[in-house]
Amino acid sequence: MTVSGKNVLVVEDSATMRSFVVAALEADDFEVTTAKSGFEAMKVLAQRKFDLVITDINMPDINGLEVVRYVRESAAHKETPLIIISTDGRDRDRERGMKLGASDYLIKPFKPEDLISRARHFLSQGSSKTEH
Amino acid sequence: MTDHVNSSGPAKLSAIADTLRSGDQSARILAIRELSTAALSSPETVGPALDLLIDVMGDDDWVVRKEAVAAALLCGDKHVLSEKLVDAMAEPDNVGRRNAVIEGVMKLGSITIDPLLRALKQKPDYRKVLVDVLGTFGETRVIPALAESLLDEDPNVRAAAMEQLASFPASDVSPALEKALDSPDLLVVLAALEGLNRNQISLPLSKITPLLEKVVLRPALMTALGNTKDISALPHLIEGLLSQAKGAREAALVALVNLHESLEGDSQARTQIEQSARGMSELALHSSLRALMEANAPVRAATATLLGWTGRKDMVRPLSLVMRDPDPMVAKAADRAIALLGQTAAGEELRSMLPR
Repeated sequence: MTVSGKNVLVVEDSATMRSFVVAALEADDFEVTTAKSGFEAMKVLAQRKFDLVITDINMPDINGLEVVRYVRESAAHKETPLIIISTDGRDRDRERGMKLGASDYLIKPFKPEDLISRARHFLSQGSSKTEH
Repeated sequence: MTDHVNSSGPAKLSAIADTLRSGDQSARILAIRELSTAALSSPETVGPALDLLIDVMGDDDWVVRKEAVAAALLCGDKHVLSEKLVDAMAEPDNVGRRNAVIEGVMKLGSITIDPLLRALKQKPDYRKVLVDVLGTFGETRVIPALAESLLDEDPNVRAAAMEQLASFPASDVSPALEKALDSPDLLVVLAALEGLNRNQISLPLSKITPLLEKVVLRPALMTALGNTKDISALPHLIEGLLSQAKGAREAALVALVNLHESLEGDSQARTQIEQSARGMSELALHSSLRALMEANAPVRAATATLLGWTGRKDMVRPLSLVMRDPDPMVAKAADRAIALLGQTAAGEELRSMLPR
């Protein structure tokens, strides 16, 4: 499946993790836009649509779970697949994220190929629902 | 407005606590403001008032959480506040509270370092967030604790420690960053590389090339190649111009120009770089033209410089489009590139006039 030109929004406050995710996605020909906080993400989401959103949970101001809620409650984005990336693998956080409508949950640190295969999976499905 | 002014001490706090549980956002915000003006100024209520504020930092509404952080920071007893906030970083469940507390600690500043270091020594489950904050105050006394965290069994703690260490000036941490390039953790290597690049540290090529196969490191490696002051980096940078990843291509463009600048006294090496631009493939040229129009200012400026070296008259037109770039650095680079292309073009004209 070609992902050339598919737009991904990456919401991550850690500069290193942001570089990591962007480099992994760009090497697979995704077009990537970044936001350093949930607040910045909402500003970007208010202006344009994306094929996929990838968000961290722990961020200042508006956190990742609130980004998930915003995306799912927004008419423009409610069908957009959304992957949470977090250092926190506790079941409760995962459950909360999935309950809010995240499509998947990836625990840091992950291999670039794991992120890419999940991203490709959701883009080929064209839907926000996970099959994992 | 809810008015608790006439109540006294604990009764007042209890009334405010009730309001903080109300469904009305503006009532909760007013209650927070009341806490900050009344309860925080009295030694007997400061502790319970801070507990209430930390509790409300877990509010569902981020505006209320932010107000609670701002109110807590008004507390006169910064030592009590820093102890309480650092303790609250242990929050296991409420993501909003966890992050609001972290914001409070960061805004409170270096007074929180001692409680943070004490907490880190206990090696709690939440030590990654402690490490995340420790390096943000720029105080070198945290470096040993961060260095120790590089050996933590949790890879996320190791990566956070390296990201924080890499934020210090090179003189303090450069050997540790170079050593980290041998780490098996990609995130640790990436954080170290970005720190070294920020400080424009020149690495030996032998440290960089073995890492080139790691795609996620490539943009940072291109920048590092540009800092090597070694003409042997040139083939890797030319290859970088053809990377599939936009970030790596753009980093290679800037790095080529940086390498050229760093070889000021070596005209032979500089000519070699300029000649390699003349031999650029159409594909590399095409992506460079895209960068000239779409990338950020440093990349646009570097691209303009590079296009000036190509000797191609058909580059004059795209370069002329950025002569009025809003960024003066880009406009200046385009001016110089066109002048350079003009000289070449004039040379070709003269040569064509010579008898065969």
